[in-house]
Amino acid sequence: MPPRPPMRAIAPVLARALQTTAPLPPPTSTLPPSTPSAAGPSTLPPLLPSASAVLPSTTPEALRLLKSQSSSSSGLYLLARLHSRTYLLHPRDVLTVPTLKPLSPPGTTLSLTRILEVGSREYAIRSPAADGKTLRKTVGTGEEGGWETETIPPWVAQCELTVLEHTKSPMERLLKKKRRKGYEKTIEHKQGWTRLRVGDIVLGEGVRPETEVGTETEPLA
Amino acid sequence: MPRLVPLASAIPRSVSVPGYRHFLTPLRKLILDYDPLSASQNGIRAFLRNPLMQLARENPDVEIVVRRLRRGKAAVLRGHYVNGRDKVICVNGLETNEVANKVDILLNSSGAKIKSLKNLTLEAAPGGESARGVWSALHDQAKEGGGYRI
Repeated sequence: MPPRPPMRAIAPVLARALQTTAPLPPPTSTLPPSTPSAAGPSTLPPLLPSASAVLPSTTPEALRLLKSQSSSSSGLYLLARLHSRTYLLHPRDVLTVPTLKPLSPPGTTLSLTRILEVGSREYAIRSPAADGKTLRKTVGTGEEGGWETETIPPWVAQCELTVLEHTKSPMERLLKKKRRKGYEKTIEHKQGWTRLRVGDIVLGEGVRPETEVGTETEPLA
Repeated sequence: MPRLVPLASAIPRSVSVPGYRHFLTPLRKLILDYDPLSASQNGIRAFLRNPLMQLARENPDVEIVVRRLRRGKAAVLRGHYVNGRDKVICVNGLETNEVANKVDILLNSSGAKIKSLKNLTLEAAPGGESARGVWSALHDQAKEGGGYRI
């Protein structure tokens, strides 16, 4: 395993409340009168609860909120980068990527090292690296902050992938031809794939441990 | 009274989730059929003598069977998988290292039927709902005013 650069003290990772689908509160007032003339100001409660929730200021508090809404096998999602693509993963999903070299035997567990965001139904912990699309524009302007290495650390969230198989797709035959030039060729191509099963998303305590014992799972670039 | 057939989808069934919290090697049995006299089968014969022993020790959960064929039959590798399917690879005329590559193909496969995986990057968990739920226009915070208001 290549030596990883030392982790800097991470600026407080953002925890924000995400309010998209909220349960409808039970109606507390009666229905408005059917005739428009008799209708006064709307007496229905608003559809969404007011966004006055106090957000946590420390990572352990944020993790407690996430854990209150979910378990390691359900209710959690994460955004992770694998090579140059970002995937939104839930436990028990099957991820298909081009063949991961070196070929590891089926059954091998690979740990995700670049987790950008981990969240539950209403809360998420998002690392600075998750905003790379906008931060990348500041590269070269003197405002670089090393955001690329500030992903979610393993004492906040961990997830492992299990290699299911290395397989190939059916043969694709591409015909290339230029007319009246005597140029014609057939290209045969079989794309190799690796299928991976996403394991449980394990949330930690949020505090960097004093002495960390290295795990035996192979890290995934 | 017309004959009523029960809908298979109406009866709840458990779906196995291979590879989640447990792993069962998909390859159950590997059969190597060879002809002891054919000249084109030198590769598989050399493979049977040495590399096969090491392979069998490294994969204790795979049953390996070596069978001798009648004259005139081609050397073949057969892999039988846990999902009931089998993969058959002819290794006639291949060298020892090429035979080893074909054995690796059988070991790395899950036995599933070969299909195009180009548009199948992420398969959702069986019976799994997404953590954030389904988008609703009535609860869309991004909209001005925070969703529809009656």
